[in-house]
Amino acid sequence: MESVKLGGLLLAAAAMLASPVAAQEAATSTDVTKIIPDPATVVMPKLDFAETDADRADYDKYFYFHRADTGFEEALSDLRECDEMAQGLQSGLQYQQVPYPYAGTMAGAAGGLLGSLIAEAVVGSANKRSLRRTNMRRCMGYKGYARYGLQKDLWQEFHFEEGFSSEEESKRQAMLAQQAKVASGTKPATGELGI
Amino acid sequence: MIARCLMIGAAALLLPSMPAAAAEKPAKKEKKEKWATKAITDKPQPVTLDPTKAYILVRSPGQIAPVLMRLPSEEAAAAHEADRAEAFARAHLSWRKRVASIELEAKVGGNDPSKRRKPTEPTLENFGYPSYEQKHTMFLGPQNRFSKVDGSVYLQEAPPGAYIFYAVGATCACLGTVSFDAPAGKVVALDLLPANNPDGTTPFQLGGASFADARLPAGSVLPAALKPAGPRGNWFGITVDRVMPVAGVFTYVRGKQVAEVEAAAVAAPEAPASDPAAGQP
Repeated sequence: MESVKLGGLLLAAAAMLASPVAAQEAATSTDVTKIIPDPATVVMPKLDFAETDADRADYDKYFYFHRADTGFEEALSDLRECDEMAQGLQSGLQYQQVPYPYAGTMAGAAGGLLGSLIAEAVVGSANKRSLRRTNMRRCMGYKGYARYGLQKDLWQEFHFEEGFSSEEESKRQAMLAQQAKVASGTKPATGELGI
Repeated sequence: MIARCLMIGAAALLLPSMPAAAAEKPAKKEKKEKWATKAITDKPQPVTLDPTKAYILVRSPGQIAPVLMRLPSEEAAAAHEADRAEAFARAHLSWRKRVASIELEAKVGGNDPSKRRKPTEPTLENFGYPSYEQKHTMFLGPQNRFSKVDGSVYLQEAPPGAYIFYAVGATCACLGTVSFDAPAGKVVALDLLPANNPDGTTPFQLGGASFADARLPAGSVLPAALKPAGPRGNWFGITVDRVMPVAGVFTYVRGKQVAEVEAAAVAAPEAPASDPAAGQP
């Protein structure tokens, strides 16, 4: 019985090896971070709301960007660049199963001061979310984008926060596209906030 | 259970015989570049400079923890790219084996392959291999100062080459930094002032420093000649900021570094059509 099973397994293995490319292609995913959607297909989010004191108190968390004389593609490129900076990694599609040859060379550093500062900087999900906001504000602010406050419920329709877990990439890109549509759209009538 | 073990065993036996896999198996590297730097601490004796090493001096009003990174030469960049390609080949081979194993298990065991999450295929774009700079990082301070006179001075022995300023503590100059050359047998000096701006940002003011210390050989200290070096990735997941514009070297236009001469041209109003200096006929 066992020999029959083994024979079947070997045959199946041989069948698999005959078409390894098909197996690979099945697992290949499209790089959604490179796609530039047609702005006409991107839904413009709702930005109008009756402002309250509670809304104003939360503008350090809930905001959007706008810059005059900026096209959709340019705004999307800027938002993606800043999103990558805010994420703290070079790419949102970092392949996780990599050998990490530089781990050894960084071992000394990890025990050093910067290592402890980094550990402190990233400890706690709330700190990570706060760090992301700070980095987005600085990065977009330096690019000349003004910041405008938004009501939390409206903000959540086309923004995401990231603590220890990351937003799924296709959702992230869809939201960044909406943010780009806003950033390159009509200048908001509300007052600008600082960096 | 037995079937599962046999499947894995069969796959393990057969996969190494895959011709494509064997052909792509990376060759063993012969020699790795050695990376080492050393802090020169505050001792009364004169410093003897190694003519094969460069020395980088950072002066600040207080104790800080600057992070510098070496930039690759053409040769080093090529070697780094070869290392990356080798690591990528290994990772891709590993991914192919994993996918083949999942497919095999699904076929033989009658499992639904859609219920097994297939790993993302590593591509040259998404392959997370550290940059040359990350692998050649230099951490200075806040202790081991070379001098405590008029602030804090850090002196580091390092391989000669070009370096970038990357960070101080948990804030990087990822949105725009500068580079400078550190030649062999010389001490290259820079001033670093981490400033707290009213808007909450903390850009770094950098400049070449004139520094004198009787322990350093006469004529060995050069002020760092700063050059714009663009942005760098937020490799440590810390707060991002940037180096402030350096007068006569570069400024920022919409967040991008622009050499001062170019910036002047951009900022200049359009010349009238009849102006011969504007190159009009």
